[in-house]
Amino acid sequence: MLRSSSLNQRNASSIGRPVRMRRLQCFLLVSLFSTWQLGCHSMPGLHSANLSGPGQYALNGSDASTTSEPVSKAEAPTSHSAYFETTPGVIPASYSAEANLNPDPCYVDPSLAANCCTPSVSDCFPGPGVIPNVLNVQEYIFDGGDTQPTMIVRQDYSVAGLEPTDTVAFYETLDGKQCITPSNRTAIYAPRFGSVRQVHGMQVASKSILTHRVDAPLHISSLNDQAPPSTVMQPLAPQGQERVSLIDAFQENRHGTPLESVVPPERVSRAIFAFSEINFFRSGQLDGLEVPVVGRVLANARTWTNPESLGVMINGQEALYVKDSARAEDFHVYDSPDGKCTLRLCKAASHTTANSGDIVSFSLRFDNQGAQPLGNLVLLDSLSPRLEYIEGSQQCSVNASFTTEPNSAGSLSLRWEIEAPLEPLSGGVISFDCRVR
Amino acid sequence: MCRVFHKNPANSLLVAKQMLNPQILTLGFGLMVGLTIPNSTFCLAQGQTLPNVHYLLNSNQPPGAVASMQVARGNLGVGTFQAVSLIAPPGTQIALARDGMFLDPIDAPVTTAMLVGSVYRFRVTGIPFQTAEEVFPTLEIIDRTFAPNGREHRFPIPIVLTLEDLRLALDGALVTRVIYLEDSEIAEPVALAPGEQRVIDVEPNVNALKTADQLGRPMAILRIGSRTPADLNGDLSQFLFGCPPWMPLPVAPSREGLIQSGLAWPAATNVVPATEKNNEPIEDTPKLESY
Repeated sequence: MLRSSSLNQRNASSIGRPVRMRRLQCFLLVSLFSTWQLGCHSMPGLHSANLSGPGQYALNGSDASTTSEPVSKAEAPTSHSAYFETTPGVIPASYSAEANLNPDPCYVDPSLAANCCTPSVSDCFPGPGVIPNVLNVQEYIFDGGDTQPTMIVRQDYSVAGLEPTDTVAFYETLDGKQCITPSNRTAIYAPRFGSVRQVHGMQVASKSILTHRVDAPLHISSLNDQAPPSTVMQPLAPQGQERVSLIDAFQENRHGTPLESVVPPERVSRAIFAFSEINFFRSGQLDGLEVPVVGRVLANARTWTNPESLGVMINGQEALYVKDSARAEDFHVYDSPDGKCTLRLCKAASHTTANSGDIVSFSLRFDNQGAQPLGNLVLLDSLSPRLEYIEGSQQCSVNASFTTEPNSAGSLSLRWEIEAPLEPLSGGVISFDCRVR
Repeated sequence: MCRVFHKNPANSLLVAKQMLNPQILTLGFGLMVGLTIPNSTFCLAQGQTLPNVHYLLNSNQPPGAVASMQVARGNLGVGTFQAVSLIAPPGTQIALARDGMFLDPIDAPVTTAMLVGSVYRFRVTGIPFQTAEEVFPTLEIIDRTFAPNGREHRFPIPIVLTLEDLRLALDGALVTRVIYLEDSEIAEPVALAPGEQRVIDVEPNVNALKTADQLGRPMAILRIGSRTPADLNGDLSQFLFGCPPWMPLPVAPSREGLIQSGLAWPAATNVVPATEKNNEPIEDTPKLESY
């Protein structure tokens, strides 16, 4: 049981601090987990790789750094091969070369960190870059969680209700209670397309384009309603809005400093003495070179003006994180009686996007967060029909027995039986690879 | 008894969702409720659908009919550009149209962004073993995908022109392909090679659009062999369906290609393999012991 309270009720901003800290912890957890994933696979280079950063490879005959205005009609070449080779500027912002140079699907969007700690899978990982919704759910491969009907465990340790894409762990507590804990649900954007082919003979084809078939019930005049040129710019405008950076805004809005607004240094009071050397506080103009100086001076000034505050220097460098006694503190009360289901099961995929044939690595992190050991821990993962388990790719950090069996979707159901009881505050990691069908 | 449909009703091409007349819609909903409730439980959850649904749209309708209906409905994807990849046999060349005329052909595959709700005509030449022939397929974009922002180009709709399709078209047949987005939850557990596409052949009297709608979400309709222009140097605006705009896209290289080309790749530390004991399968499951 977790309770949280704040001592300093006057500080309104402290109310949201535990949430922010929790998001930060989740983000750091993902970073550490990604780092671990980079170094623990037997097939280096095929997954968990970060391709971000310019200059990794060149596009097909195009300048990746060019993002110019659309080509006008007068300048347009008559060959569209020339478009592909020499005029990449017509590519919209959403298809920018920068995005093309970053095929790394392992990125985490901090803005989505609010979703990282759902009630069912507390302290797990953030979701993918795009949250599946009712419109695009068919384009994703899901894995993890416990879909309806929920899983049950029989007395002989066999299970029922383990649907494809489910990832569930069941175990026992010291008092004999059997617990079932699902993992979080991971989503991989991997659309697959099929086609329905129909071949008509000449007579059938001629019937299908007769005029009376066109007029009833649809009018062919609706073809004119498409008005292609009028809708060209609609999808481009929001993309441009997103790419305005703060520094550009400063540079564009820079203007001269009125002489009367310049405050002489001798008029600066002692309260802002620490800032008197900064041009921003004298003239209102913030120079880009002074931004780090302002940050350092602000930290110094806070230390100087508040004698009760705490300053920490490590080898001449300011500490990144200082828990100041002048701020509000949080109380975390943990109550873990016997018989509590205290296993945390988190699942992560090495890719958030994949194409058919790609290899995706999944990792299962399980931890006993309680004060009592957990025994007879079994982890089950029933794979989606779009995922093909690569034989021999599984690894487990603790001693476990591993078996597979076919599931109802034509894929495999993976089963790990952890041999030793899971001691308090201990855990393990399971990793395996799948090929996207 | 509810029939399994595996389709989101909000995106469906069902006629009940497309009736624009409120009176017809009300009447249709009333009939739908009246006919459904006495027979079975009224089930509209995802993965299920109404029985005996009449499809207003048909893949045999002329190019642009389905897209026009999408425009009339105000479908979410209308007006946006969708990445499309035209894939053809090696040696085949494809020429897109611009400003009322076909541009110079380029080697397939051609990846470009096309406007949802438009019909595109392109020219296919250099067909293997029939290099003197040419066909003018049409491509009708009727829906879009929702790829992650900035990665739309990595997931284009693959429009596959097989050699068999091209030969059938040259022999006088009309080949219609409805390309659909496969529902991942009911996908066939078969592995497909990159560039390969699952094809389902249906009879001429079957609505291919309906079949595709039941398997997933129809995205585009490809028609090969329907028409040829009377005069390539004449006015082609009608033949080209108004020449809607398109935008080129760079082709995203594959990860395996990057590895083989020797480009920089993050160094991975060596991993100590799991012990043999960890990988040993147990003979009879389960053999758990309580502790």
